[in-house]
Amino acid sequence: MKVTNRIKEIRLAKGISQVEMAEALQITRQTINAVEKHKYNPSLELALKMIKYFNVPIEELFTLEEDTK
Amino acid sequence: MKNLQYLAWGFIVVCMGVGILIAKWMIPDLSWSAVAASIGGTVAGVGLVAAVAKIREMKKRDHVPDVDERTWNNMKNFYAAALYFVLIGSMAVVIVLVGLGHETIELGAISLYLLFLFMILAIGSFIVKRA
Repeated sequence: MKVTNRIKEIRLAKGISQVEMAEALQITRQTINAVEKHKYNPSLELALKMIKYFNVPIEELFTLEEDTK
Repeated sequence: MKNLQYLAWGFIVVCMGVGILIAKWMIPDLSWSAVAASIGGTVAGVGLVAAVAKIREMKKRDHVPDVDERTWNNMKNFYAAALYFVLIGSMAVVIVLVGLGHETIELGAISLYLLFLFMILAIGSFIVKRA
Protein backbone atom coordinates (compact mmCIF):
# COMPACT_ATOMS: atom_id res chain seq x y z
CA MET A 1 0.00 0.00 0.00
CA LYS A 2 1.37 3.39 -0.99
CA VAL A 3 0.91 6.68 0.83
CA THR A 4 0.24 9.61 -1.45
CA ASN A 5 -0.09 13.25 -0.48
CA ARG A 6 -1.39 16.54 -1.84
CA ILE A 7 1.21 18.70 -0.09
CA LYS A 8 2.53 20.39 -3.24
CA GLU A 9 -0.99 21.16 -4.46
CA ILE A 10 -2.11 22.61 -1.11
CA ARG A 11 1.18 24.48 -0.59
CA LEU A 12 0.97 26.14 -4.01
CA ALA A 13 -2.73 26.96 -3.50
CA LYS A 14 -1.81 28.78 -0.29
CA GLY A 15 1.11 30.55 -2.03
CA ILE A 16 3.74 29.11 0.30
CA SER A 17 7.29 28.46 -0.92
CA GLN A 18 9.30 25.36 0.03
CA VAL A 19 11.77 27.51 2.00
CA GLU A 20 8.95 29.17 4.00
CA MET A 21 7.47 25.78 4.80
CA ALA A 22 10.90 24.37 5.71
CA GLU A 23 11.53 27.28 8.09
CA ALA A 24 8.12 26.92 9.73
CA LEU A 25 8.38 23.14 10.19
CA GLN A 26 12.15 23.16 10.90
CA ILE A 27 12.93 20.61 8.20
CA THR A 28 15.18 20.80 5.14
CA ARG A 29 13.92 21.91 1.73
CA GLN A 30 15.17 18.57 0.33
CA THR A 31 12.80 16.72 2.68
CA ILE A 32 9.81 18.74 1.44
CA ASN A 33 10.86 17.96 -2.12
CA ALA A 34 11.20 14.24 -1.31
CA VAL A 35 7.78 14.14 0.41
CA GLU A 36 6.09 16.02 -2.43
CA LYS A 37 7.58 13.62 -4.98
CA HIS A 38 6.44 10.62 -2.87
CA LYS A 39 10.04 9.50 -2.39
CA TYR A 40 9.88 9.79 1.40
CA ASN A 41 7.04 9.19 3.86
CA PRO A 42 7.22 11.69 6.75
CA SER A 43 7.17 10.47 10.35
CA LEU A 44 3.88 10.68 12.25
CA GLU A 45 5.25 13.70 14.10
CA LEU A 46 6.09 15.55 10.88
CA ALA A 47 2.79 14.54 9.28
CA LEU A 48 0.89 15.98 12.27
CA LYS A 49 2.97 19.16 12.07
CA MET A 50 2.06 19.48 8.38
CA ILE A 51 -1.64 19.02 9.11
CA LYS A 52 -1.44 21.74 11.77
CA TYR A 53 0.58 24.00 9.47
CA PHE A 54 -1.86 23.76 6.56
CA ASN A 55 -4.89 23.56 8.88
CA VAL A 56 -6.51 20.77 6.88
CA PRO A 57 -7.89 17.34 7.91
CA ILE A 58 -5.47 14.41 7.63
CA GLU A 59 -7.44 12.70 4.83
CA GLU A 60 -7.12 15.83 2.71
CA LEU A 61 -3.32 15.78 2.99
CA PHE A 62 -2.52 12.05 3.01
CA THR A 63 -4.20 9.12 1.29
CA LEU A 64 -3.46 5.43 1.61
CA GLU A 65 -3.72 3.82 -1.81
CA GLU A 66 -4.94 0.24 -1.56
CA ASP A 67 -3.24 -2.45 -3.65
CA THR A 68 -5.33 -3.56 -6.62
CA LYS A 69 -4.09 -7.19 -6.33
CA MET B 1 23.35 24.20 21.55
CA LYS B 2 26.21 26.51 20.51
CA ASN B 3 28.17 25.60 23.67
CA LEU B 4 27.70 21.91 22.86
CA GLN B 5 29.10 22.52 19.38
CA TYR B 6 32.20 24.27 20.75
CA LEU B 7 32.55 21.50 23.35
CA ALA B 8 32.43 18.90 20.54
CA TRP B 9 35.16 20.73 18.57
CA GLY B 10 37.28 20.94 21.74
CA PHE B 11 36.70 17.26 22.51
CA ILE B 12 37.82 16.25 19.00
CA VAL B 13 41.03 18.32 19.32
CA VAL B 14 41.77 16.87 22.79
CA CYS B 15 41.15 13.29 21.60
CA MET B 16 43.41 13.76 18.57
CA GLY B 17 46.08 15.35 20.79
CA VAL B 18 45.89 12.44 23.23
CA GLY B 19 46.16 10.03 20.26
CA ILE B 20 49.33 11.76 19.07
CA LEU B 21 50.81 11.61 22.61
CA ILE B 22 49.95 7.89 22.79
CA ALA B 23 51.76 7.47 19.46
CA LYS B 24 54.81 9.21 20.98
CA TRP B 25 54.61 6.88 24.00
CA MET B 26 54.36 3.79 21.74
CA ILE B 27 57.08 4.98 19.34
CA PRO B 28 59.83 6.56 21.49
CA ASP B 29 61.87 7.36 18.35
CA LEU B 30 59.18 9.79 17.19
CA SER B 31 60.69 13.26 17.47
CA TRP B 32 59.03 15.96 19.56
CA SER B 33 59.02 18.25 16.53
CA ALA B 34 56.85 15.70 14.69
CA VAL B 35 54.53 15.51 17.73
CA ALA B 36 54.34 19.32 17.87
CA ALA B 37 53.67 19.50 14.11
CA SER B 38 50.91 16.86 14.42
CA ILE B 39 49.21 18.69 17.29
CA GLY B 40 49.55 22.01 15.45
CA GLY B 41 48.16 20.44 12.29
CA THR B 42 45.23 18.98 14.24
CA VAL B 43 44.35 22.34 15.81
CA ALA B 44 44.73 24.11 12.44
CA GLY B 45 42.67 21.47 10.60
CA VAL B 46 39.80 21.45 13.10
CA GLY B 47 39.99 25.26 13.29
CA LEU B 48 39.74 25.52 9.50
CA VAL B 49 36.68 23.23 9.37
CA ALA B 50 35.06 25.16 12.27
CA ALA B 51 35.81 28.50 10.54
CA VAL B 52 34.29 27.32 7.24
CA ALA B 53 31.19 26.09 9.14
CA LYS B 54 30.91 29.44 10.94
CA ILE B 55 31.26 31.44 7.68
CA ARG B 56 28.61 29.29 6.00
CA GLU B 57 26.30 29.82 8.95
CA MET B 58 26.83 33.61 8.85
CA LYS B 59 26.18 33.71 5.08
CA LYS B 60 22.93 31.76 5.43
CA ARG B 61 19.92 34.01 4.87
CA ASP B 62 17.11 31.63 5.89
CA HIS B 63 16.50 29.69 9.11
CA VAL B 64 16.18 26.28 7.48
CA PRO B 65 18.01 23.58 9.49
CA ASP B 66 20.89 21.60 7.95
CA VAL B 67 19.63 18.25 9.22
CA ASP B 68 16.21 16.77 9.99
CA GLU B 69 14.53 13.37 10.51
CA ARG B 70 15.12 12.33 6.87
CA THR B 71 18.84 13.14 7.13
CA TRP B 72 19.16 10.96 10.27
CA ASN B 73 17.22 8.15 8.55
CA ASN B 74 19.53 8.32 5.52
CA MET B 75 22.58 8.34 7.82
CA LYS B 76 21.31 5.28 9.71
CA ASN B 77 20.69 3.42 6.43
CA PHE B 78 24.12 4.44 5.14
CA TYR B 79 25.94 3.20 8.26
CA ALA B 80 23.90 -0.02 8.32
CA ALA B 81 24.92 -0.72 4.70
CA ALA B 82 28.51 0.46 5.28
CA LEU B 83 28.86 -1.99 8.19
CA TYR B 84 28.29 -4.94 5.85
CA PHE B 85 30.68 -3.54 3.24
CA VAL B 86 33.37 -3.01 5.92
CA LEU B 87 32.90 -6.48 7.42
CA ILE B 88 32.76 -8.32 4.10
CA GLY B 89 35.52 -6.12 2.61
CA SER B 90 37.81 -6.73 5.59
CA MET B 91 37.15 -10.47 5.41
CA ALA B 92 37.92 -10.41 1.67
CA VAL B 93 41.20 -8.55 2.30
CA VAL B 94 42.19 -11.11 4.95
CA ILE B 95 41.34 -14.01 2.62
CA VAL B 96 43.37 -12.45 -0.22
CA LEU B 97 46.35 -11.81 2.10
CA VAL B 98 46.22 -15.38 3.44
CA GLY B 99 45.93 -16.62 -0.15
CA LEU B 100 49.05 -14.65 -1.05
CA GLY B 101 50.92 -16.37 1.76
CA HIS B 102 51.00 -13.60 4.37
CA GLU B 103 50.85 -14.83 7.96
CA THR B 104 51.06 -11.52 9.83
CA ILE B 105 49.83 -7.99 9.27
CA GLU B 106 51.86 -4.97 10.37
CA LEU B 107 50.20 -2.52 12.72
CA GLY B 108 51.17 0.27 10.30
CA ALA B 109 49.25 -1.44 7.49
CA ILE B 110 46.19 -1.85 9.74
CA SER B 111 46.32 1.81 10.78
CA LEU B 112 46.52 2.87 7.12
CA TYR B 113 43.56 0.58 6.31
CA LEU B 114 41.55 2.09 9.20
CA LEU B 115 42.47 5.61 8.06
CA PHE B 116 41.23 4.74 4.56
CA LEU B 117 37.98 3.31 6.00
CA PHE B 118 37.36 6.41 8.13
CA MET B 119 38.00 8.66 5.14
CA ILE B 120 35.56 6.71 2.95
CA LEU B 121 32.92 6.73 5.73
CA ALA B 122 33.39 10.47 6.32
CA ILE B 123 33.04 11.25 2.59
CA GLY B 124 30.00 8.95 2.39
CA SER B 125 28.36 10.63 5.41
CA PHE B 126 28.94 14.04 3.83
CA ILE B 127 27.33 12.95 0.56
CA VAL B 128 24.37 11.31 2.37
CA LYS B 129 23.85 14.44 4.49
CA ARG B 130 23.65 16.57 1.36
CA ALA B 131 21.29 14.20 -0.52
